[in-house]
Amino acid sequence: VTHPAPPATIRLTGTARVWRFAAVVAFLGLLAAGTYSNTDDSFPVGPLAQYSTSPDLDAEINSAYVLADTTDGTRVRVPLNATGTGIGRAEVEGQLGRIIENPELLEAIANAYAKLHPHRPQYTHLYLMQDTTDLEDGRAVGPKVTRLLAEWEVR
Amino acid sequence: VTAVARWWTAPVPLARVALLRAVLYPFVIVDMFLFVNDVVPHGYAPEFYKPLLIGRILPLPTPTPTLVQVLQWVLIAACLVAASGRLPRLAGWTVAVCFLEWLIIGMSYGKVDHDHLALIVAVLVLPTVGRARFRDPTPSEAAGWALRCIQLAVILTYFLSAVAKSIRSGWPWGWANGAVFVWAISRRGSDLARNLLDHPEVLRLAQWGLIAVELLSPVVLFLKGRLLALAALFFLSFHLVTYLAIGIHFLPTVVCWLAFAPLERLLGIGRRAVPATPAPTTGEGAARDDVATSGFTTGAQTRTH
Repeated sequence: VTHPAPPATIRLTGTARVWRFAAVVAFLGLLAAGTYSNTDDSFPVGPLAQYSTSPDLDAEINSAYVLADTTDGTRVRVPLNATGTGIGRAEVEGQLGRIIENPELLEAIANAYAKLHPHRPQYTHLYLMQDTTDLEDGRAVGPKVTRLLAEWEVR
Repeated sequence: VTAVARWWTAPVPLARVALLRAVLYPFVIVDMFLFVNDVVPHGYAPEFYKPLLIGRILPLPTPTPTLVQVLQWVLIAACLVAASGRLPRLAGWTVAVCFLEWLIIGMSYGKVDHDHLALIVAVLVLPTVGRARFRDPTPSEAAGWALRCIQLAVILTYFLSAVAKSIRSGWPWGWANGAVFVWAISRRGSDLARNLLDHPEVLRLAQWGLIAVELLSPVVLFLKGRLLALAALFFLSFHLVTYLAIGIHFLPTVVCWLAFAPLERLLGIGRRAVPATPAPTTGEGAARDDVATSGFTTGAQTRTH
C-alpha cells in the first residue's frame, strides 16, 4: 500500500512568529506576577490556589451556612448555590467578615431567593451560622460547636 | 532558542484544531449553564458584587440582569458559529471577549474558581489559527502553537497550584504535612470519603503524593505515545477520585486534556504516512516528522485510505 505524502507544512511568517512568542512571554509574566501576588483578586492570572492553605493538624474546621424562618412558619437551610439563591457557600464564607459587620447584607440573600423563587415560602428572618470542629493530630475530636454569627429580620 | 521555537510551533494538522473547536466551544455553553451558572442569578444580588482587580482597572460595566442575559445569548450564538468552523476569527474573538467577561463577573462575588486557566487560554488562542477544515490534514505551525499553548496551560494548572501551595505554607512539605484533606472532606466529603477521616495518616500520605505529582507535571509536556496516554489517564483518574470524594470535578481543565490527543485520527487523518522518498533531515521538509509524533501514537493504526 502506498500513501500520499502529507501536504506541505504551513509555516509561520516572521511577524506571526514574533507576536506569538511575545504573547507567550507576556502571558507567562502576568501568570508569574499573579501567582506571586498570592491573591484570588488577580483572576484570571491569579494563583492556582485551590486547596492551597493546609490547616494545622490541631486546627479547627469552620463551616458556615445560613438558616431562615419562612412565611409558612418553618426553619430551613438556605440553598447557598447558583440555582437556590445565586450566592454560593464559599462566597458567603469569602465575605464573612463583611456580613458580620453589615448583617443587612443577608437581606440580599432573601431578595435574590424571592426573585428566583417567587412562588415558594419566603424568608422572614435569616441566621448566619458556623459549625466548628476541633482537630487533634488531624483527627476530629469532641462534638461540633455551632455558633450564630449574625442575624437579620427581613424587611 | 531554535529548539525551543521549534517545540513551540511543532506543526499539527489543521483538522485537529477544527475538532478541538467542535468540542471546546460547545463546552463553553455547557460551562455557562452547569458550572459558572451563577452569573445570571448573581444579577439579583448586586450587594455581593465585589469587582476583581481586572474589573477595577478595566471599565467593565456593573452586571445587571439585562446585561448578563445579553452576554449569555451573544456567547451562545458565537460559540455555535465558532464550533462549526465558520468565521473562526470573528466568532472566536467574540467568544474570547464575552467568555472572559462572563467569568470575571462570575468570580466577582467573593469566590474564585481555579479550574478555568486552560479553557481561558484555549478561547484566546483558537481564533489565531484562522480557517481550519475538519478534513484538512495540512500540518500548520499556527495550529501547533495554539495546541502547545493549551497543553502548557493544562500543565501549569497543576504545577502552579503546587507553587501556590508552597507559597502559602512556606514550603511544599508545609502543605503536605497539614490537615487540608481532612478539612476538605469534613466540609464537603462524600460518605465514601468520610471513612478516611479515621485515617488521617493515609490522607497525609495522599497529600505528599499529590504535591509531588503536581511538581513533576511539566514532564508530561515531553512525553509521547503510550507514556503520554498513560499520564493523561492518570491525571483524569485523579479528577475522577476528587469528584467522588469531595464533588469537585475540574471539567473545564479535564476537557482541555484533549489538546494532547491526535483527534484528527478519529477522521482517519494523520496516520504516519510512509514517505515515498527518504525523509529529508534538513530544510523545509525536515519538520514533517514532528507532525505524527506530537500526539499519542498507538499500535492500532491499521486503517488505510
